Parts: sequence; C-alpha cells; structure tokens
Amino acid sequence: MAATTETESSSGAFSFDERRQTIGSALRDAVLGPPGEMGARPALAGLIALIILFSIGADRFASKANFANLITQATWVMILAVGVTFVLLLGEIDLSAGYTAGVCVVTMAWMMTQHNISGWIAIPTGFLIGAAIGTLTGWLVAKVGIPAFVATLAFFLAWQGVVLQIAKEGGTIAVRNEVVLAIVNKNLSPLMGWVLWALVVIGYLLAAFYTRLNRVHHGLAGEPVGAIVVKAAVIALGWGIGTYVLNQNRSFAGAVRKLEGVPVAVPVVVGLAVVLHMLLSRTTWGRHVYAVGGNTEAARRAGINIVWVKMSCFIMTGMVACLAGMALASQLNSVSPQTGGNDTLLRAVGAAAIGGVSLFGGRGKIIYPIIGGLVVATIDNGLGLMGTIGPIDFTQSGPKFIIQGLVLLLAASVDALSRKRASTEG
Amino acid sequence: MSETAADRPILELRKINKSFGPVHVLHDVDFAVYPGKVTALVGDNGAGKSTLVKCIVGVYSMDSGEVLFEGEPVSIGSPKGAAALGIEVVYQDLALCDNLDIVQNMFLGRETKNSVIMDEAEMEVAARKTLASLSVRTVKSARQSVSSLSGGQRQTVAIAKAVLWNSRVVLLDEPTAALGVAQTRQTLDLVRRLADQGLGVVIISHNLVDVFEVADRIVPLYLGRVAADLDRSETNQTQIVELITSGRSGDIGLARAEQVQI
Repeated sequence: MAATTETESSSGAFSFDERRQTIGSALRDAVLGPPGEMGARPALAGLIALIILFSIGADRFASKANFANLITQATWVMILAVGVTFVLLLGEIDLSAGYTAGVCVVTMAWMMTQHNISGWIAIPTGFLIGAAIGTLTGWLVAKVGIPAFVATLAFFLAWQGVVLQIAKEGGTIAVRNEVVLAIVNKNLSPLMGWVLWALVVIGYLLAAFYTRLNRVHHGLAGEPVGAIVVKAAVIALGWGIGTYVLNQNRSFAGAVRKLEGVPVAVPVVVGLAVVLHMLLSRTTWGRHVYAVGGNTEAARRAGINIVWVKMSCFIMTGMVACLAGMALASQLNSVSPQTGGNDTLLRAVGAAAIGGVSLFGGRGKIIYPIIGGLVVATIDNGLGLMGTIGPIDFTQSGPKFIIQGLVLLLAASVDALSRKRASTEG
Repeated sequence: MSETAADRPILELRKINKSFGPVHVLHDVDFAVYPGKVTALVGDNGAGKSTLVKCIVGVYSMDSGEVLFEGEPVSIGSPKGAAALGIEVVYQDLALCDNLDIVQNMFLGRETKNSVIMDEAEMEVAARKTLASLSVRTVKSARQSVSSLSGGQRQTVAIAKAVLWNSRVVLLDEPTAALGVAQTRQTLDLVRRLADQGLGVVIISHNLVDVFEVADRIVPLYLGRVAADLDRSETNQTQIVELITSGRSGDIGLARAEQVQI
C-alpha cells in the first residue's frame, strides 16, 4: 500500500528539515522550477527557440529596427494578457476585455479629438469606464451568478455596439494626445535607458536581499547570496544587451533624424508588471485571489469575501484593458470600430495561456502573460518576415493563425499535463 | 470528587433543538466537551451529527437551546464567531487550496501583515512551530505545495491549521474516512496529542475501531437524540452499535415511548 511505504520511507526524515540550499540547487530550481510547477519555463524556452529559428529563417528578423518593432507590436498583447490574467486566476474568463479596451479608448479619443477635452480629464475617464465595466461584469458573475462565459459574451456584443455608436460605422477618430502616442511611438533617451536598466537590476537585488534578510532574521533558510548575485548578473547582462542594442541608431541609412533608445512601452509594461506583481504576491488581496481560484469553498470557509475578490479581479481586468486600449490606439495613431475587436481578446487570452497562466484558475504570475505576449508577437512578426517558403506564404494571415493556434494548443497541453503530474505525485 | 478544571466542560450544549421545515433534526440535544478529552460523536447516517456540528460553529442557527463556553452562556452566530471563541472545525473535505503551500493554507484568511505587505517569514515560523508541536514528521518543507501532499499529510495540515490559533475546541468531521491504515494511525495519534495539549477534541466518526482507540467519551446519536453519554471504559462496541442502530441497549439509552414517537 502506498500509504505504508510512504510512512516507512519518511519516518527517518527529520520534520521540516527545510532544504538549506546551495548556490547550485537554488539556481537549478530557478531554471527548472519545483516539480509540477513549470510556470513560464516552457514559454521562455519556446521564445528562445522562436528567436533562434526566425534569426536563421528571416534575414531581417535579427535587426536593431525589428527588435524595437517587435517590442512595440507586443505591447498591447502583453498588457491585455496581464489584464485577463486576473480573471483567469479565478478560473473565470472575460471575453469582453477586448471591447472593454475599445470602449475606454474610443471614449477617450472622442472626448479629446472631437470635443477638445483635455487628456487630464479624458484619460482618467477611460480608466473609470474600464473600472465601471469591470464592476458590472464582476457583479453579474459573482453576485447574480451568471457564468462568466455567458455574461462576458453578452458584453462582447454589447460593447462592440457601443464602440460602433461612438466611432460611427467605418469612422476613425485620430488620436493626437501626446501621452497616448508616446506609449508606442516615443523612445527613452539613451541615458534614461540605462537609468531604467539600473532601476531594474537594483530593484531586483533589493527585493531579493530584503526577503533573504527577513527570513534569516526569523531563523529560516534564505536564498544563498551567490544565487542572488548570479541571477542579478544574468538580468543585468540580458537587459544590458537589450538596452545597448536599442540605444543604437536604427533609422534607415541616410535618414535625417536619429531613431534610438528604449521604447517608452518598456517602462510602461515594466512598471505595470512590478505594481501588479506586488499586489498579487505580497498583499492579502493577492493571496485571496489565488485561494478563490484554487478552492472557492475553502476560501469561503476561511472567511474570505468571495464576491469582493471576484469583483475586484474583473475591475482590475477592466482597468488594465483600458491601458491596453491606449497602447492599441498609440500603435495605430487612431481608434476605429475595430479597436479591441477581431482576434484582440483571443490573442491576449492565448498569450496568457501560452505564458503558463492556468485556465483552470489559481496558477500564474504576472510575468507569465508578458512572456506569452512576447511569444505571440514574435510568431506574428517573425512569420511576417519569413516571406514565402515553397507553396506557403507566411506573411498571410492563414498560416499565421494556424501556427498560433498550434502553439496555443501546445501550451494548453503543457498546462493540462503538468496539472496531472502534480496531482498524481506524492 | 472535587470539581477540577478538567471536570468542567469547556463547551456545553443544553437542550438544543433544530428543525428544517417540518423535519425535526435535533431533539433536546445535550452535549459536553471537556478539555484534555476526546469526545466521539457517533451515529448512523442522518442521525444529526453534521447538523449538530454546524449548529455549534454557527453555520446553522439553533431553534432553541443554550450554549455555554467555559461556563458562560454564549451565542455563536457565525463560523467567525466560533473561531473568535477558539472553536475550529476540520471538515471532511479539509478545505485546503491545492495551489497554495502549507503556510499559505494555514494562514488563509488570517494572514500576518506588516502594514499592507504580508510577513511571510513570520507566518512560516509560526506554522513550523505549530507543526513541530504536533510532532509532524512526514512533511519535508512548510513551503511545499499542498497538491504534492498525501491524504494523511493533508489531514495533518488541516488539523494544524485549526490549532494554529490557540484554539480551545477542535471538531474533526470523519478525519480518518479517506485514509489508509498507516495514515489513520498517524491521524489518531495526532488527535490524541491535541487532547494531551489540553484542547477539547470532538471526533465525528463511523469507524468504531478508531473511536474506541482514541476517544475518552462516546456520545451515540439516534435520530437526532442523544442516546447516551458514556465513558469509554464503561462501554463496548456491541453496546455502542446497539445504541446507534436502535437508540437503546439494555437499560441505557432512550425510553421506549420516545422511540415509538419518532
């Protein structure tokens, strides 16, 4: 009997002998992850494989200009994927998040461009609309008890109609607001690029050493200093190379204006990720989100306000969707009835799933949808540059969609299989 | 015999009645929990064991009756109220989140905070202390995910979660129902240790072998009535089975008339 052998084999082990980690084992954990917790590792491996593949297959892929392009193209996917991650963590879905982004940003554009209302009023209004939409959806799902799939499917249609009404059929509203345009179109100065690099590295070191000191202070085993330093060095090197490349002039030969620097999108995404990561991993609210996603009944018995937790996640998705809408508008310099439509939402959910956010709820970190968003954008960008190979024209939407679909399927399989393995272990 | 602390019930229920519509589930139930003792609540399916537990912790309201905690009358309106008094329940399904680790589960809903940020190290230390006090030996790390634990280990974590808060009374609903032989052994040892630490322990079980092994007092319920309240040493399994199935055994148990009435 399994139970008997387990007791026998572990009876010699001292209780709670927390593994005192060596640098080696800590780094191995960082690369491979604890058993059953693959996290974003398959997505990260996939991203590296894709980059290598496209660098060989498409000659313009590995260029300075395309590197910056790729980042700016990925911006809205990453942000919207981060947004839907909150409802995915609950084990719910928000099919209307794409058009929520659309409604927010089309209202913003309508106020600013057609009514000359200041961005100081229009932009906060957009976020308030996102929050209001989230409140309504969350209330219907958590309090009224409509399945999220149905409620958000209804809003998917309804918000589409609202966008059409505001933008008018076929109408496009130009966006001229500096702040919105800057997200995708402006770059940091080379110096600011290095300041951002320093902030990221120092921030990581401070966070890691603070956690270590706190644990050691309580007599617990902390992460080995060597492991922290090695990880920080890897981040510093990787981010440093990226910053160095982006700080080179990437405008066409003979262009009058220099085009250089880290796109503003990078600090926007990093800032969003850091704040939301802290919320999810360091506050009780974040802990309760995971608890509700993992076992709603257990959370209820622990005295957690399920309705509030669910509603707040939908509100979060709505507000982050507004930011994603701004990134979309920034990329197109305008908003149209299609903003947030077509495959916008599905790509974002796909990105979150590819990154390792479990669609069953309860598992996933903020970094996952960001890596997933980069994978989705890389496939899109890379295939576009592949050109025609044999009978297949990779620049067409058909092959792109097929390949993205297969990648998503692969990611979903990894999620399902790793869950299966985790539940049969021990 | 002079009355000492151990003789005085820590939790006492007097004449509890509870109906769900026309169905009278609990009839004048008297029930007492003593510190340092394991009281077993036994009974057939539908005898009212779970209803009684849910009344105790305030999930259900009682229709009539009195609850005394340490001799003082109290009114427990919700599970939170019960927890505030130090009464905790470990449900049969354990109510653990698979995706969280042991420490996170033990502190769920009651996280320790430094202003707004959770104090993970503080929680881990407290969790390890509790687990160590229960002589838990089979769990390797307090940061292990609950999904990787065996049934017995989960039971242990659920019990540890209940006693983390300086609880006075712990109610365990069928703690051994889903466990193998060795894990049942561990869990019963754990139940005994809880009582040895001075807690009032209530164990609800179908398994009379387990009950006779761990309980000090045995209370059989028969169709919503307390058939008897017996010391383990003065009874045996045959008698308990009779009390569970017919409410009566020899000259103890419910009067005949009462039985007919039902």
